[in-house]
Amino acid sequence: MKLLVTSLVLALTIASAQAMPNTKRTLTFDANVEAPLKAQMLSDLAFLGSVKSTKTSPLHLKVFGQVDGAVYADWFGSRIYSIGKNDCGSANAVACVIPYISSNKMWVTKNYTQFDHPQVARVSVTYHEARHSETQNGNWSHATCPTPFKDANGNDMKSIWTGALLQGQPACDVTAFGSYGSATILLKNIAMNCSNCNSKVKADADIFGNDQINRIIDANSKAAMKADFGMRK
Amino acid sequence: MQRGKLIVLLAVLGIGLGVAYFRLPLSISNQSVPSADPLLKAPDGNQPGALLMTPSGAPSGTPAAPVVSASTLTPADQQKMKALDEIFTSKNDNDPRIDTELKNFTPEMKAALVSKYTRIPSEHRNEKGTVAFLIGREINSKADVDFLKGILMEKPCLSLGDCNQPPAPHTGADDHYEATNETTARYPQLVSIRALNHRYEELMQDPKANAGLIQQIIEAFKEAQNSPDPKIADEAKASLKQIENQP
Repeated sequence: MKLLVTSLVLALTIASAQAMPNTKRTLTFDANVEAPLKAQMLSDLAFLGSVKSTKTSPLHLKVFGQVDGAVYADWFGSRIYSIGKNDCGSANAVACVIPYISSNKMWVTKNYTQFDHPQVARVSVTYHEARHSETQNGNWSHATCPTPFKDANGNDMKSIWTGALLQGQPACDVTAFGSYGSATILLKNIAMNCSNCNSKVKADADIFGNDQINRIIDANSKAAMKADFGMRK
Repeated sequence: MQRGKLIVLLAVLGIGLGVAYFRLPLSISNQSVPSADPLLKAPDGNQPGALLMTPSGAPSGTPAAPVVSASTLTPADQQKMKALDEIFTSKNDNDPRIDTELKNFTPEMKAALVSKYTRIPSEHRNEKGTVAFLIGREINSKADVDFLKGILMEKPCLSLGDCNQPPAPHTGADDHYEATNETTARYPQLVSIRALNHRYEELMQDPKANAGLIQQIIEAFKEAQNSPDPKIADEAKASLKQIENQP
């Protein structure tokens, strides 16, 4: 009986710890994460942690709270506790979360520093992956892209590199609140509302946000996002 | 006979060393401003003031780099170039100098930036896009439009690790990442399209006074419809369509 009660208390403690955000933790890095990679990641997180704004879109309020560096730091810190190194199953990957290993660990690849992404793009990838850490939300698994899957110009959505079609692949979201949607909401709010970002960062956030929104396949979700961003329909 | 051969050999060696000494560029210790950018290094000793920037390795479509003279860069412009190099090294895109120091370019500084663009390796997408951004927010001449048009006509970057190499074999995980990777691969082009669209809107505030530059931007979009990257060609078509639909 004692054992049963102890197990129950332990399970409840773990569950509540997972559900409770804002637990202050220091992000730890595995020993195999090289110093330049670690430094770049900390620098990128510090950039987002420095963001200031007086305006926030309604969808951003729902996902993150205010557009504010401290809010972002808490949001990320309550989901990701440690960083490891992995190839994430692709030569082109930058970062990933592997829930069956750990929901609160993010893996980064050598591409994080080897690919020359704009800084805000790197940050958006880490926030996209952090969203996948939410076990209570089924890790926000992606939806299957429709067949056919066309862009705004009526062309097939496909890789410029491999020609592989995105149709039928689990690389879309129905909801605005999944990984693609939340990263888009983050980017568009940086573009629209960041008061201490320079004009390049704001332009970059807009460019990458405009692209990410194409992965949202539900018309209502997409329309709600566009309205949130003040975009033309 | 042996001694004669030795004298001839020594003489040839001496002449060779002498020629080499006078022909080689001056050493790095002559640099007035330390920087990774050769533009800021002292000019070649044999051609005072002239530094020929060749577009070797530049992707097709990139405008040929002009002959840029290091001596024509003022100390203020040299400082700007140094600031840009520092930002590239730091990888901190939110450096406030982008909005304070790196603007109001002289034609000489713009020529130096164009030259720099051609020397940045293709894989440095953010650096190339940053140069496009800096010139793109100050489009004041046909040369500026031509520079951006040249970027739109570049061949696509096939892989972020090596733009000229075929990509690694496709895995299921790739679909998850490609949105960001592909946007970065096209980053200089997307920045250029955006800059041309934005400048077009500005110029249309006074279409009569700006007719020349407006037409050059339209021509750039028309040419970019034939970009080797179909996505960029589509973007150019969309820009033209938007222009046509304007009242």
